[in-house]
Amino acid sequence: MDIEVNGLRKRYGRTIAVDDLTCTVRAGRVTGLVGPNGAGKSTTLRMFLGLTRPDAGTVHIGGTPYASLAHPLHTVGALLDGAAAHPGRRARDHLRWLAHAGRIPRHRVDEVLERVGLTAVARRRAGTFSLGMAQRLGIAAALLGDAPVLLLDEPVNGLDPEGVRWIRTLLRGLAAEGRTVLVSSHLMSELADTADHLLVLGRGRLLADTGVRELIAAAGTRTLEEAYFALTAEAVEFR
Amino acid sequence: MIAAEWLKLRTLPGALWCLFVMAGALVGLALAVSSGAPAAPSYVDEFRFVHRPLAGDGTLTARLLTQEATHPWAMAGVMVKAGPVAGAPYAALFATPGHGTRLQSGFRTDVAGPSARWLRLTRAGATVTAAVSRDGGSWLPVGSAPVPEGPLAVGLFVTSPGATRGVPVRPAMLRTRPSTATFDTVTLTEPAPGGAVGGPPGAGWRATDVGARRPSTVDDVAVDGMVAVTGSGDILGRADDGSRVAVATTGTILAMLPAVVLGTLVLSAEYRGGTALATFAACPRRGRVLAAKALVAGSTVFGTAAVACLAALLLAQPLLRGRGFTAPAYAAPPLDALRMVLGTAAVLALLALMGLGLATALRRGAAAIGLLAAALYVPVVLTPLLPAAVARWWQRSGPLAGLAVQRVRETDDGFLLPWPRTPWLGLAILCAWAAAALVAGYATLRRRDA
Repeated sequence: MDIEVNGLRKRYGRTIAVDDLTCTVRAGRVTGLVGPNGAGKSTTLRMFLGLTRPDAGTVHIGGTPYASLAHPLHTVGALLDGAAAHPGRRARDHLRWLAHAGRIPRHRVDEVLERVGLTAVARRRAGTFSLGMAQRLGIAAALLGDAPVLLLDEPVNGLDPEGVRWIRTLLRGLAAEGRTVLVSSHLMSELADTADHLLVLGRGRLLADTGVRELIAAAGTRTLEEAYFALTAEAVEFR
Repeated sequence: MIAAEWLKLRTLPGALWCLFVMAGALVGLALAVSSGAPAAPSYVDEFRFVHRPLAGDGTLTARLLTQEATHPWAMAGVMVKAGPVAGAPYAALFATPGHGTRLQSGFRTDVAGPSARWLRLTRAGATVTAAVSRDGGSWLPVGSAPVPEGPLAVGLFVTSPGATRGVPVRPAMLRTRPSTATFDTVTLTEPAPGGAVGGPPGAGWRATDVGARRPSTVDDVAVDGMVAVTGSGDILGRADDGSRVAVATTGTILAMLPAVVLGTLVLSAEYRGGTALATFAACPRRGRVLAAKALVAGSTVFGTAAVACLAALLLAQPLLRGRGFTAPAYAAPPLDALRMVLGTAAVLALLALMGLGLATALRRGAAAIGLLAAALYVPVVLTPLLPAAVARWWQRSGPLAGLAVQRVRETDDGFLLPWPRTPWLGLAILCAWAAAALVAGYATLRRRDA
């Protein structure tokens, strides 16, 4: 199930967050959405889910806009703002209401808790979680619907090295199952061993839509990181 | 979506506290009001009486020229009474600004009559017959009432209720003051031997402040057959079923706040920890999310409040009986009690919906709570200080109008005077407020980014 983005544009006052973004995110591979802070990555992902209204342009997921999907959570699993859970609510209750809202079988709640390794702390309130645990809870929510499309905004944030390795394996496994996996990050190095394909954003514009190897080759450098810096050098606002 | 919102509400610690406090206020205040101090006298009997003795049979006729509308239950009219002392048996025919002409006696009987300016009481033995006339020529009977045999006092009376009328706790008070009424063509005829045909009040007439803690400082004025009488107080039996049902809902005024807070909490919880992102990703049609929230919050508050009110009613009744509240004169049918209990629950549920709608529109839970609390509680404090017209307008059209659903009897409007005409109209006004808040909330929710 591909994601087709066409002419997507969003402006906040005088700031252009996303400027005429057109691309296709293909199934069966991990696509990295990279760019410096403020490049428009989160805004783009929010527009994919209809949480932020684009000023122009469309996003189709498997040919349908998100808001028209019959079963949104069965189609797209998303990690946006960490756990996105009320701090006073227990982790398991958070997943339970999501399951109700998405018409997802109840047994999936315990399955995804097991998968992200939170079974032991499932009855703790989300507010007591460390950054890494909250991140895992958010990933559990994204996996809940067993969706063919996964959108993960900065999934590596707050994870320890073991967690980083775990999520790499997880993402590669999900892509190998034929799912569409889109992962955003502001650190190229995080994606270097994970992503097959890259969308590079800078100041809301699409700077590159290319495979990892092609990017290195085009920049004439030896590492992906250097190629990335060369590409985004002019698009960094805060330095 | 409803199942999801229901689960969210159940797992929100603050929401459970709100329900607990709301139920506690309803039950606790009902118990506090119905226990404690021993029973007050079973009547209020305080008015200005310009009277003369009546040895046997006789007829008193008077025309009411003007009456100050200080209260819907201000009274001006004619009366026979066993003596000018509080509590003595009486029969009174009077006009009221808000409730037409009434014949009342014994603190129990209350008969409505046709509206007219000419009032007449005819005493024959142990019975008094009342009649009214529009022109002083043709007389329409109103009813009759028993009085004791023997000498009585007969005359004109005026009164206007202050804080003495009403059930234990009402959300607002209106400023009250003495009422002045003017009469003319006052005639007393006594067919008994030696009886005189009396003219206007003069020699042989006396003025008494019946039941007054302090004598009136205003003198009655008689000029050219016209008499102006000024009085304040009330004539009312107190032990009635109206207050017994009402006592089950005395906690409403305090329960309103947790109900509002719960409504706003249901929304503001979405903006903690970014829950809204998950919510609107799971259900992109935001109107359905708001509808589910309204349904869940409304029915939860309604259910909790209905159970608490019913418990308060059942617990308060034996306590009240122990305090000496006797069987009702103004019988409150069980249907009225049911309307009060369910109506109170509906008022609280609608206030929760107003909180939800307002919080959605403002996207600030605290602002919505502050605004609504001000709309609900400020009038309660300020009403006695505001110009009567402003206070009346706000009580009739503001969200508080919904409390009219708690009215048991027509006479039960002691403190919150300017209620809408019928209980259901009041509830409808509150419904409109809640609907407006929800529509405003929906408009914001649809337009804004999550």
